[in-house]
Amino acid sequence: MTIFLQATAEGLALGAVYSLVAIGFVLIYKAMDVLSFAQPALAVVGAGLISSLAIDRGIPFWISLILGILLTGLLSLIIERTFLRPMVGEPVFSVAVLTIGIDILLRTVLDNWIGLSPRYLGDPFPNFGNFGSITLNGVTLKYLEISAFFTGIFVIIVLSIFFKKSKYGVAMRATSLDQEAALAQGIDVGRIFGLVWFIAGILASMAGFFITGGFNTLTQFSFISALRALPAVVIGGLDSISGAVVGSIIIGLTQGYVGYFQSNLETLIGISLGSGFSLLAPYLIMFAILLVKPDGLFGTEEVERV
Amino acid sequence: MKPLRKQGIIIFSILALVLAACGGGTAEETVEATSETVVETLDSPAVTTASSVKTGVGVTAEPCPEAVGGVPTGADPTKGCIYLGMLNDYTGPYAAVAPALETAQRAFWLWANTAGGIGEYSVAIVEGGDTSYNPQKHLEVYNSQRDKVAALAMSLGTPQTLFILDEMDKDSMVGAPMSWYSGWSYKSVDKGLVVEFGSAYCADGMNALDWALASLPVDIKTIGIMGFAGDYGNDWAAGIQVAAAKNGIEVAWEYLPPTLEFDVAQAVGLMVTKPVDAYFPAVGPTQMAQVAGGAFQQGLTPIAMMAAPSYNDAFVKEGFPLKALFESGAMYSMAWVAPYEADTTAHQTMRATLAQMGVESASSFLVAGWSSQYHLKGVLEAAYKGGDLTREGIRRAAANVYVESDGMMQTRELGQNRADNDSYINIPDGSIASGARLLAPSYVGPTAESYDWTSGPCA
Repeated sequence: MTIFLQATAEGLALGAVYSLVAIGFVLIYKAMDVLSFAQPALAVVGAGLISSLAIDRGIPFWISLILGILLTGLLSLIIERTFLRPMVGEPVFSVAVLTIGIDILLRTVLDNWIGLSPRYLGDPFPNFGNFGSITLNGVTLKYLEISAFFTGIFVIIVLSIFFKKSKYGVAMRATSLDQEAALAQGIDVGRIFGLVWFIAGILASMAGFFITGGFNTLTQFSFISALRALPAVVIGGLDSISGAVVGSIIIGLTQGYVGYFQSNLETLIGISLGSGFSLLAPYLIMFAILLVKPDGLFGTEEVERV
Repeated sequence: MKPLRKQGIIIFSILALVLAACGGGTAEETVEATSETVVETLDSPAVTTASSVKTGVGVTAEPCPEAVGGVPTGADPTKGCIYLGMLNDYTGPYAAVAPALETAQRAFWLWANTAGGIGEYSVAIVEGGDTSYNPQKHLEVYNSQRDKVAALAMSLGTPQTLFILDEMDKDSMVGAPMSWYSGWSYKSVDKGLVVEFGSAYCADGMNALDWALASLPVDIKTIGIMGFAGDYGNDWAAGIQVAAAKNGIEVAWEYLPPTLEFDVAQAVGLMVTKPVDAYFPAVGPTQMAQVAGGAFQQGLTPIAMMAAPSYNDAFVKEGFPLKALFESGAMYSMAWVAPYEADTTAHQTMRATLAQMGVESASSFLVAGWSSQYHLKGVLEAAYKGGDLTREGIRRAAANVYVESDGMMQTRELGQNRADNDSYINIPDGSIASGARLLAPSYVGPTAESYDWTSGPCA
């Protein structure tokens, strides 16, 4: 039972981190009808900025964290203005490929800066408790992961209020429903696109911090963790924020349970599932869900007149 | 949106994700090794002294340039020049260490040229080409250098070097690897072209377990192995499996996914659900810190015997969160030579030469670069003695010659179809510039001692 709870705790924490990336994916998809593959790169760039400010420049960590997150949002905004804005109206496949190019560009520059040695972000989490963890009834909870979980919940609440109550939130919803109608109503769609990318950049950098914080460290391979949020978006439905969160938790829990119970399962069924199964399992779940619900669990079902 | 269009986007997105992931990481490719016996028709050039020297591609009567890439060659202007190729990774995952590797190699030849060179020739490494740790680009860079050089000072990466091996075979191009795959010691794999140096991961794996059993005050009965499949993980794991079988140790689990599929949660999960007395990681620094830290948080501190690529001196730098764990006495790292500070003639020469060049670092990659050139130097000297500095002559020399390294590595007889079996065992130590204190130099455990090294590569 303890191991089950441990796997659950780790799965929920992973899900919380994935959800921060996944919400960014969904926001951009809803606004621009395209998946941005630059999100994982923005996540690690955010972590790199925090590390650079806190470690290389000696700025206090909490200030570095806030600055790093805001700078990543700003970078994201600049990317939208520079690369994406001219692509409005172009085929979504072209735009998606462009975001892959942006992803590679950002990571190449960042990788050169990172080098081979792991980069520490300078956060105090590893100093709390037992190397950054506390044990409750035999279950080890990491402060960084607990923070990720509550940050995820906080972000979801704030975004929900923002979309319902604020002028720009309502404008974003209108833009995501119908860009031309939004334009006709006087909404500055270009500004909304920029705002969406700014928020997505902020969310990505928050995820980047939780992925690389503590002794996880930032290395050239850290972006892979952010990439794992993609099946979560598909499971939840490309255009649903709540779906992204649910999908992320499903992915996180799957990864956690498979990680802890794969060997027991293999013993039970007498078949080896292979070394990479914990990362394959979320995709199997994704395929299964798409077979039943092609639009994802919470995606908007489209009706087409033939 | 139309359902078909949305499904198309999903399918496209997944494919693009896979492509993006492969493009940014260290995708591994393997080439099936072909078996070819190198016909050795000459006596050992090492014991033959010719009166005239036949030369070929990459060897000129004109002197070497004074400097290449801003680094002096130390070449004698009255001597001819032997040019060496350089297949380095300037933009891929090893870009950060490329300068250290290359600096040390150029420093080595600066010293060697100053000390007399290769008979009537000095040696110069040409401008390096960027392979990006990508087999296809590796081949492109090789093609750009193949008509200019007599041998390769460096071919970085196991899968990458395997990828160009057929082309090297056509050219009779000998080269020093920058990897420690056990296959480099066997003609069935390397066609007698790769001038290996230092112990392979396989021998390191055997020695890691034997040394831990013999030297640590821990009763080791069960172990776990983790590593990257397709790269150094398989060779390492094979060695440990042999040692475990010989010592009657239970291998509780073996976790060997490809590099990009390594899941820290699963690695920690294995350690929690199937606790072991010791584990043997051959991963990267990222995974190493997360696995060791994650296990420690759950109250697990088994002995860790790390393959060389797993350890990074950043782990014991001031401020690193896990410094205390890495210095706790539960973690050890393997290496093919002693650390930078070691007291051999070769280490002293290396430090003096690098200091003369203004290099202020104790990086293990400097040691890697420097040590990689000793055996190649021995091969060139043998070819010169044999009066044949053509590529074919250099290849024949590489097939049958004793090479030494001023104490950095054991004297080795190349071309004997058997790998070296000694390893260096270090303990992380932040008080030393290289971050590693030597515990056991040139250690050969009972498994590596009795293993039939003529049986071929471990993996």
